[in-house]
Amino acid sequence: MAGVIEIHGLRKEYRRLRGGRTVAVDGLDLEVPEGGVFGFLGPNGAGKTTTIRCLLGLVAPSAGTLGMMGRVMPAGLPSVVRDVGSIVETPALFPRFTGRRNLEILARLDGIGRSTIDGVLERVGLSDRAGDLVKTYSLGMKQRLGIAAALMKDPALLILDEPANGLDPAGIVEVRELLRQLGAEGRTVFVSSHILSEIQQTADRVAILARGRLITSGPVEEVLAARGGRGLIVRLSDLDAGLAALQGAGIAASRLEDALRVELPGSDAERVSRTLAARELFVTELRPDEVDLETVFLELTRDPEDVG
Amino acid sequence: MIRLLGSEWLRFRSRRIVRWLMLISVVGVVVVALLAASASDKPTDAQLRSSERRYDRAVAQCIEQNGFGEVPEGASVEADCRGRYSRYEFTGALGVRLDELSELVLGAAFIVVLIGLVLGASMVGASWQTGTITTILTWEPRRVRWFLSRVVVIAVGAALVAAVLLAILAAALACVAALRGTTATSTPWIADTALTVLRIGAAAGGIAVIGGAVAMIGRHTAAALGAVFVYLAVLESIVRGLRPAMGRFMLGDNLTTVLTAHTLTVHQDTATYLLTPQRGAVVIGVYVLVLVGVSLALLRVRDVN
Repeated sequence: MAGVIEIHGLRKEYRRLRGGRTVAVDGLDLEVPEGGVFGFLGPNGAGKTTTIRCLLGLVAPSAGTLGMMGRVMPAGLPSVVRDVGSIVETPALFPRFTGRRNLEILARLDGIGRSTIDGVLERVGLSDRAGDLVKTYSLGMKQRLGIAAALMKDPALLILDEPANGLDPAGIVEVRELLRQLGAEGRTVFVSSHILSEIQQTADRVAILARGRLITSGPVEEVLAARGGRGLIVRLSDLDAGLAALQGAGIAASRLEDALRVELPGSDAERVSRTLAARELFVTELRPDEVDLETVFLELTRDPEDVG
Repeated sequence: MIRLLGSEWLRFRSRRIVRWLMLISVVGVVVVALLAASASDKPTDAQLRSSERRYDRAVAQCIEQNGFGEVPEGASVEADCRGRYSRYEFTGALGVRLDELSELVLGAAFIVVLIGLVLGASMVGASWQTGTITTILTWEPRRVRWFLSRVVVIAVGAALVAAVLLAILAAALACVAALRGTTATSTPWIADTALTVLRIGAAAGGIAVIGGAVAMIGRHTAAALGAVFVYLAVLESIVRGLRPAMGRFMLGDNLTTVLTAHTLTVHQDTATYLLTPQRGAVVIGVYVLVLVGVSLALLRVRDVN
C-alpha cells in the first residue's frame, strides 16, 4: 500500500433496534499520502468518525479493506499502533483521575517515561493543571489532554477527530499552529473537523465526505479551483459602461448587484485594468473572486433533495 | 504483558472507589472493635478453669453419642467433636476470645465479598460508561490480551483489598481480646485466622472477576450488580425450588462452603449430597471461566462506539 492510510470500498452498516439498517459509510475510497496535514471533512453523520473507528479497529467494517502504514487493518493494528496517536471524538479520559495520572496510565502501556509526559503537557499548555482532576477540565482542556496523550508515543501518524471541538478562539489558533508544526515535522496528521476555515489554513490536502461517500479529494488549492475559483470581481462607478467595455474587448463578464464578475484568472487583472482605463473607466476595487472551503463544502455536501 | 498489567494496576489503585471502600471499611472495623470492647468482659481464672472442665465434658458426651450422628463420612468422631467446641467458650463471660477470631473474621465475609463484587463490576463498567475503553483500545488493540490483564488485576486487587481489610479487622479484634477479652486458647488461632483471611480473599477475587465479566457483557456497573443480585437472590432460589438437585451447582451454596470451609450435607427428597469446600472452589472456578469466556467472546466482536 502506497499511502499512509488506504481505504477501499469501505462500508459500514448498523442494524437498527426496530429492524432495518443504517449505512454509515457507503463504499468509501480514500488514500492519504505520507507527511503533512490531511483534512477529512463532512457534515454530521457523513461517516467520518465511523471511518476513523474502523481504521483504529474499534468498529468492524461490513465490507471493504483498510490499510495503515503498509499493514492491513485491523489485523495489522498491533504492529503499527505504537506509531499511531489518535483522538476519537471527545477524548475519553478517566474523569476522577488527574490529567497527569491519565497520561501515566497510558504511558505505562508503552513504557513511556515521566519526562515525555512532562514534555507533552508542556506542549499542549497543561503543565499548570496537570495535577487537577479531569472532571474539572473544560472541554477544550480535555481536548488538549487528548492531544497530549496522542503525542506521547511520538507518532508518525496522528488521527485526530475534531481536535478543535470545544476550544476557545485562542485554543483553536494553538491547535492550528500545533497541527502545522506536526505536519512540518514530517508526520502525517489526519484530522477531521467542522471548522473549515481552520482546515483551509492548516491542511495540505482534503477529502470531503457526504452521506458516507467520498465527494472529492485532493490538494486544497485544486479542490477550490475545481469549484469555480477562477474569476475577478471589479468595482467601478459606472458598471454598465464597464461591462460594455470589457465585452467589447472580448472579455467574458457579467453584472452582479454592485460589481462586475470577470471570467479571467487573477493573473489577468492587469489586462482588465488596462481595458477599463483605456475607456477612462477607473476601478475602485479589483480582486480575485475567491471561493473558500466552506462554500465548496456546502455546495458539495448539499442534499440533492434540497436542490431546486 | 507486564506493561499492560502495570497500567491496569496503576488504574486499579488510583480509583477513588477503592480508597473510599477501604476507608469506610476501616471506620467500620474501628466501630466494631469499640462495640466489641465495650461489650466484652475479661474472664477470671476460675471462669477459665470452669470452661476447660465443661469443654471436656461436652467433648466426652459428643463422642459417647457418636457425634450426634452429624460426623461427615470418613471423619474421625473424636476430632470432629473436639473441633465443634472451643476450650474457652464455656467461661460464662461475654468476651472476645482469640480462639474464635477466625469465626469473627468470617462474620465479615459477606461484606468483603460484596466489596469485591463492586470493585470488579465498577472497574469494567466504568470503562464503558466513561468511554475510556475507546482510549485504551487505541493503545492496546489486542482486546483479549487487554481484558485478561484486567481480569488478573481485578482478581488480585479485590483479593488484596479483602485480605487487608480482614487482617485489619483481625488485628483490631485481637487487641480487644487482649485488653477486654481472653487470649487463653487451645487452637492454632493465628493459622486458622490467616487461612480464613486467605480463603475469603480468594473468594472475593473470584466474585470480583464474575462482577467484572458481567459488567463487560452488560457494559454498565449498576446493571452488572443488579444482574448478579437478581441471579443470586431470585434465580438460584427459583431453581433450587423447582429442581432441588441443581442446588449443588448454585453459586450461593458453593460460595458458602468455600467461605466457611465447612462441608454442607444437603438432603433433597430422596437424594443426599455433600458440598465440600474443594468442590465449591471448583464450581466457582467454572462460573468464573464461563463468564470470562462469554465476555471475551462478546468483546472480540463488539463495535466500540
